[in-house]
Amino acid sequence: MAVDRTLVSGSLAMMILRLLTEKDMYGYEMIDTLRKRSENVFELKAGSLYPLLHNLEEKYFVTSYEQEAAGKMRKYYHITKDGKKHLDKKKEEWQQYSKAVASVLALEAWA
Amino acid sequence: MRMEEYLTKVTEQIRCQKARELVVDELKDHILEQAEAYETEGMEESEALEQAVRQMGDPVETGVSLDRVHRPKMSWSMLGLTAVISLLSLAVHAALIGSGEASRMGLYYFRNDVTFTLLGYALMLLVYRMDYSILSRYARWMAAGMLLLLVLGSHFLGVEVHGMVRYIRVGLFTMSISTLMYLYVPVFGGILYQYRGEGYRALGKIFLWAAAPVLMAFKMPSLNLAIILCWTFTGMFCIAVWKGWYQIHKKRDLVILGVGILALPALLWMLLSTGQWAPYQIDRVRAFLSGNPDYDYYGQVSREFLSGSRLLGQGTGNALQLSERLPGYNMDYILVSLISLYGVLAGALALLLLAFLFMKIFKISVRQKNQLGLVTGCGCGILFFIQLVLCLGVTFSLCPSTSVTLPFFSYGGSATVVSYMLLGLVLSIYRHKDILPEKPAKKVMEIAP
Repeated sequence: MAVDRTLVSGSLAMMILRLLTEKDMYGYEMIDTLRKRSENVFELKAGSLYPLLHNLEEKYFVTSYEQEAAGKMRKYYHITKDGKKHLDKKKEEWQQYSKAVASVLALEAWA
Repeated sequence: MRMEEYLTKVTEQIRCQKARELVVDELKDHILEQAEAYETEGMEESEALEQAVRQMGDPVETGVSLDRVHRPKMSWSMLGLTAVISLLSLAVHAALIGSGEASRMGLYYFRNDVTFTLLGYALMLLVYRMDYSILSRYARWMAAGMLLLLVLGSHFLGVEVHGMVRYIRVGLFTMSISTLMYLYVPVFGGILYQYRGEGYRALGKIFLWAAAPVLMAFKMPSLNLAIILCWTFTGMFCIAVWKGWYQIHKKRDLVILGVGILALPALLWMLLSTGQWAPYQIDRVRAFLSGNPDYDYYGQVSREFLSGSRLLGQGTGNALQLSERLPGYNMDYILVSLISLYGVLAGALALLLLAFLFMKIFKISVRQKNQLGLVTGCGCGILFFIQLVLCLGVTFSLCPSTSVTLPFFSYGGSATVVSYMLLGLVLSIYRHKDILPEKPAKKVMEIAP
């Protein structure tokens, strides 16, 4: 399913950080996990993942390291303390926002 | 679209050449992995690869976003903080110009200070523009060259003061040897990096590279320079070991090193009892330990000025008195002058600003992905920090009076210029933080159990 891009891009960073709280992952693994978890709603283009990851790294929300796994060198990402703090903040914002949207939509239903 | 075509289109958008390397491998790995997954789902090889590339999306869009991340950066907050410190420092030196006959000397000092600060800024920005990773290639050559130049320089062009060669004169310029040796600190970072991935034998070589300048300082003789260098090198080495640069038993060896450092006073004591200390050195330590104020003119005068100071504003001592009674009033005891001229709060502000600046240096360095930048930046931070601590010790008579520098405040051409250059290096490390790729050490890192 193709979802409106602007709707995804803002929350993608949040979802990536959330994934990384479970374990360190490499890029493909993240895309794959997101796809499965969202039941293919997030068919996001992989090309947009890496600028986002590098941006998070620049802000020191994640760090990266290389590690060999199954004979391949892979670049793993790890969430930092700052990243976890940022995630909590974003999560709260998101919950407030989605609650507000939901209640407005509910009003519409009554009208 | 073929994979190579996709990757070329992405990297074309990234203006910084060096950063391209950082990006390509990761994208390529992703495409190949995706293609493999499609193949296991039953696609043909060529079809799978094409589908995987299509999955990546628009290469130009991706490239432009990556370009935004991977470009040279300036730490404006650090530059701003430095500017505030420089202005405060210049204000103190301006206030120290004094009055009457003494002002001629004061004016001379102030003019020099302005010149050195401007020169310092020029060199700082020059170093900031440079790619510091040359250290990883030429550190040993640079170190050998520096040591040779310093030895030859002090032998042939040395300026003798009280029987000690402390300066080198080249044409119009007179440079302080001890301050020039601070430039060895970043070079030592490069040396540590060059031996990365090696084992215990490399540690011996590293020790020799560290011992050479320390020994030179000791022979000058400048015990405090030897101590400053020794601590800085030890600190940098510990960080390198902690980061797993060498194939050694990390924790055990750090503990041994820690015990060794704690045992150092005992070693000094041993040297004392076996007659390795010069009589004047023994006398100095005795005089300090006795606590008799008569032995300590500097300390006595500085305490007098400090106790006459106010919380804010000028205390009992003015610029003229400071310059007449307190030798080193604009160098070693600059903090005493600052406090007596502007008050305790101004002194605290200066220290706070310096503390902020040094914390910032550590923060920038620790967050570095480039390992060379991490250790070299930390080295600069440690060097500044030790200078600050020693200066505080001397200012408040907590350690024997010796020649010290308060970075960015004390008068002195070489000290000012070198301090700004080291700061420029930290700025260069920040500049390259999203550009320089970090290559793993040649040998596989396996720490012995």
